[in-house]
Formats: sequence, C-alpha cells, structure tokens
Amino acid sequence: MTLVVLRHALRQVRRSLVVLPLAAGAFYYLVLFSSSSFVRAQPRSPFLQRPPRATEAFLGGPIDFLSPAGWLAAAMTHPITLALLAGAALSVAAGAVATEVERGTLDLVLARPVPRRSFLLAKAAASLVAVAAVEVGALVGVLVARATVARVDEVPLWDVGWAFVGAWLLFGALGMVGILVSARSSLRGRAIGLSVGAVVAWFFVRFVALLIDEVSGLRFVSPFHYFRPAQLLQGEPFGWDPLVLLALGGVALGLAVWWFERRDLSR
Amino acid sequence: MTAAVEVEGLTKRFGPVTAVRDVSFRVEEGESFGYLGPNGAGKTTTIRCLLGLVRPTAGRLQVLGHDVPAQLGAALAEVGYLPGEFGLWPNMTGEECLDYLASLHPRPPRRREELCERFELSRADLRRQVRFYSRGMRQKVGIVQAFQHDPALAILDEPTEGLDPVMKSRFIELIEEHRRRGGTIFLSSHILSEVEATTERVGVLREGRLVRVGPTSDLRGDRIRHCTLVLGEPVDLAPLRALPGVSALQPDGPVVRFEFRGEVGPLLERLTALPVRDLLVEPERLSEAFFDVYEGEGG
Repeated sequence: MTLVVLRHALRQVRRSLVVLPLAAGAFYYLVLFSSSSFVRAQPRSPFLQRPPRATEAFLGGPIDFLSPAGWLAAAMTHPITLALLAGAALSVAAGAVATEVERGTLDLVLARPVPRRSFLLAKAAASLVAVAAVEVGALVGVLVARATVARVDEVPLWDVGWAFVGAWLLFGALGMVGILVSARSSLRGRAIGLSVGAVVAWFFVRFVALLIDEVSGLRFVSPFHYFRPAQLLQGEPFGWDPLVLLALGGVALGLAVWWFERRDLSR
Repeated sequence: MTAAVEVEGLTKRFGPVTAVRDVSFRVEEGESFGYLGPNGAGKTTTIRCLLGLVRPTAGRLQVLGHDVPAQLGAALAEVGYLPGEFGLWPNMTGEECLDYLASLHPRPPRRREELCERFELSRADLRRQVRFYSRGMRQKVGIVQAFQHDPALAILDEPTEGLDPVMKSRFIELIEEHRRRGGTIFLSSHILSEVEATTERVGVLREGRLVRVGPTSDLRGDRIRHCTLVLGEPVDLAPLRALPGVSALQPDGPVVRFEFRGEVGPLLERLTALPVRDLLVEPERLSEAFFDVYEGEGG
C-alpha cells in the first residue's frame, strides 16, 4: 500500500524530478567550471583571499575561493542550490496532505483501507527520494566536472560523497518539517507558505548568527548550521551534525504522524 | 439480521459547533437507506465519522460488524464511497485515477468495464486528463470508483450531482441492481426525488439531530393522496365530503379535486355511487412529507 502511494506521489512530481536534477547538475558543473580559472590563476584579489564576512555568513562559513573544494562548498550552500533542494523536498512534502485535502482527493484514498500512517510515511519517503534525485543530479555534475575540469579531481570523492550525504540529511529533515506542516493543514498554499517561511527563517537566523558575534549562539537553532560542506570537503569528520539532522527529521515526522492520525479530515 | 451500519449516540463537535447530536440508527444488510436533510444538517459529518475521516466526540459506530475506528481497515475493505464533493488528480487520466484507486483496494475492480459502459465513459474519455473533464464526467468516474470493486456497502453522498437525467436514471438502475445482488446502500441527499426513487427507509436529520427514521413510504403515499375526479354529471358532493379522510375538496365544474388520508377501500366504495368518468390518484411527494416532518418534529 505504501509503495502504491509512494509511486503515485513521485508520479505527481515527475516533471520536477527531471528538471530539478538536470538544473542542479548543470549548476554544479558551471560553478566548478568557473572555479578552474580562479584556482589556476590564484589571483591576489583581497575579496577572494579574504571574503567579506557577510559573504561567508551567507555561504555558511569560511570559504576558500582558491581551491576546488571551496568552490564546491560554495555551490552546496548557494541560494540556487538551496532553492532547488528545498523545492524538491517541499514540492512533495508541503503538499502531501494539504493539497489532497484541498483538492478533495484525500477522501477517495482514505476511504479505502489505507492506514493514515502508511499514507504519510509514503509521502515522506517520496520527499526523501525527490531530494535524493536532485542530489544525484548535482553529483553527476560534479563527476563530469572532475573528469573534464582541471584540478577538480583534487577533491577526494569520499569527501564529496559525505558532503552530499550531509546535504541530503539537511533537506530531508526540512522535507519532514514540510510534512509536519502539511499534516496539520488543509490548504496547500498555507502549507507551502509556512514551510518555505520556516526554511527562509532558519537560513536567515544562521546568516545573522554568523554575521553578528553577540547572537552567534543562535546558529544552533538553525538546521543549516548542521550542514557544513566546507569542513566535510576538507576531510573533517561529520561529528554530531548528522545526528542532529536525523533527530530533527525524525521528530518532525513522528509529530506529523501523531497529528495526522488524530486530526479530522474536513475541508 | 446483521447491521450494515450501526450508529449509537453519535455526537460530533467542531470546537463550539455541534455538527451531530446524539444520533442513533441502524441500517440492515441489503437495505437501501436514505439520509435526508438540508445542507449543514450533519449528513456528511455522519458519513465522515463512519469512514473514519472524522473522529466522533462521543458514540459508537459499526460498519458491517466492524468497530470504527478500531477496525477501520476491515470495514473500509468492504465499502465503496462516493463523496459529495471530491476531486481527482488533474494531471492524470480518468483511467489512471481509477487504476490508482483500485490499487489501494484489496478487491479487484471487476465491475469497472461494465460500469464505464453503463455510464458511457468511453476509452477515449478515460484516456483524457481529468482536468479536461466536465462536472458530469467527474461524477461518472466517482460513481465507477465507488462501485468498481463491487462493495458490500455503498456510501453515497449527493451521488447524482452533475449528472444529466439519462445518467440519473442509469444511476437509479445501478442502485436497484446493487440491492438485488444483496448489497447495502447508504444514500445521503438533499434531493428528495433521488431518495424517493432509491431507498426503502429514510432518516431525517435536522440541525444535527435525527428527527425521524422510518419507511420511505410512511413519509410518502400512505399518508396523503391527491385525488382528481372527473364526473359525468353534476351531483351532490356532501356524501363524499363527509367521508373520513377527505379534505380540501374543491369542485371545478365536472372536475373535483380533494386530498385523502387513510384506507382507500371506503373511498372507492363511495365513488362507485357517483358517475365517475375518470379518476387520478397521485401519492404525496416525499418533498411534501419531508417538510411536514421537518417543520413538525424539528421545530
């Protein structure tokens, strides 16, 4: 039953599942392709040698623009990547319940012997698959760049893999937050708005925390803090970050199931 | 006899609003039961409680012997449901929607082909995306999805909305056929003619309270008949007027109209003494009885 709903949920976003990975792959390739001239020439521009703090805060921490790993880290925290991954996660997650309630299709599904829990878990799985699809697209872009762009292959594949796992965990967790919002909502627009709002707010909190020392402690409340590709691509260990992201996703999904099993489904 | 639907003391509150208050009724297996009431009376809320879509505030519900919500899965495995307002997945074809819904049900969709033929859903229609469907086409797909797995109990909420008269009559045939096969019908509607044509017992709901449950015929012809008499020559109508049950007698030349309640035997006996050229007896429409009950018992 769960597989049927999962297949159906993925089918509903099949165009996004083609377009978003292609866009992610193209973006990563372009970033790494652009990086080659900087890495080769090693320009002495103060901006590149010591980027402004706001730029670093925006990209999630110190970035080395003179190494391929730094450029890849910048690509992984770039707003375009965030938009692509958040789009993939939330297009399935935020609409999981709310869209079906609003459209009047949920009655048809749940008036069959489909447990609510299975329905929601299938939607959650679809959201994770959608994020994974975009990650795979991006990874293909990196692999093509490794094969065709000078010095990109200096970044160990293992570290690249871990960085992508970190991104998947972050956006998977954000997708579960979207599932939680959707499980409580009957309006698609509201569910998507709230979910996107939460993602933007967390991004902003991390940005402010990295920019202003007095509120630096705030970074811990943002899930974005627990995805640090620059460190991962330098070969630093994951630490507790994946556990925090797993816990966030798990708690959000658990709450979503709890609420969804108890709520009245009325339009 | 086993109850297909058993509701005891059902109450459902949405915050300060009580949608259904202490409703109790029973629908036997193989019966066709109409659930009547104006919009907002609580019909859909009752149905949603039966299907586990809404949690009752109080009360006990059983569908085909299964407790709801404790044994919801087992109950729903034998139910076909047509919601009053429903949507389909706009970027899917009618066929894909039916396939998806069939794949969520343990019973195979063995009646689909026959139902599509009956409701004139051609292969070409079913291969179009549902966003291009008219209201009537969507309703036909809704009917097919509710009956395609030949459910033991069909719960239908305003089932003929959007159907043209031909399709409505085919739908009524489908209901009759379903009952002949031993199936149960629970039909909620505010369209009285629909209930009149398809059910044998009705429950009347008013502001969340069940104000009347009884045979549809009790609400209809057994109570009052509209009679029109055409006489061959003028006669004294006093004996007819004096007959118990006769009221609203209005002579209009050779035509005499009156209403009659009660056993028809004495009326026919009295009429044999008159020069009757023609007689028309119309049963009371359910709508009249409904409003009679609705206003009398509710308010």
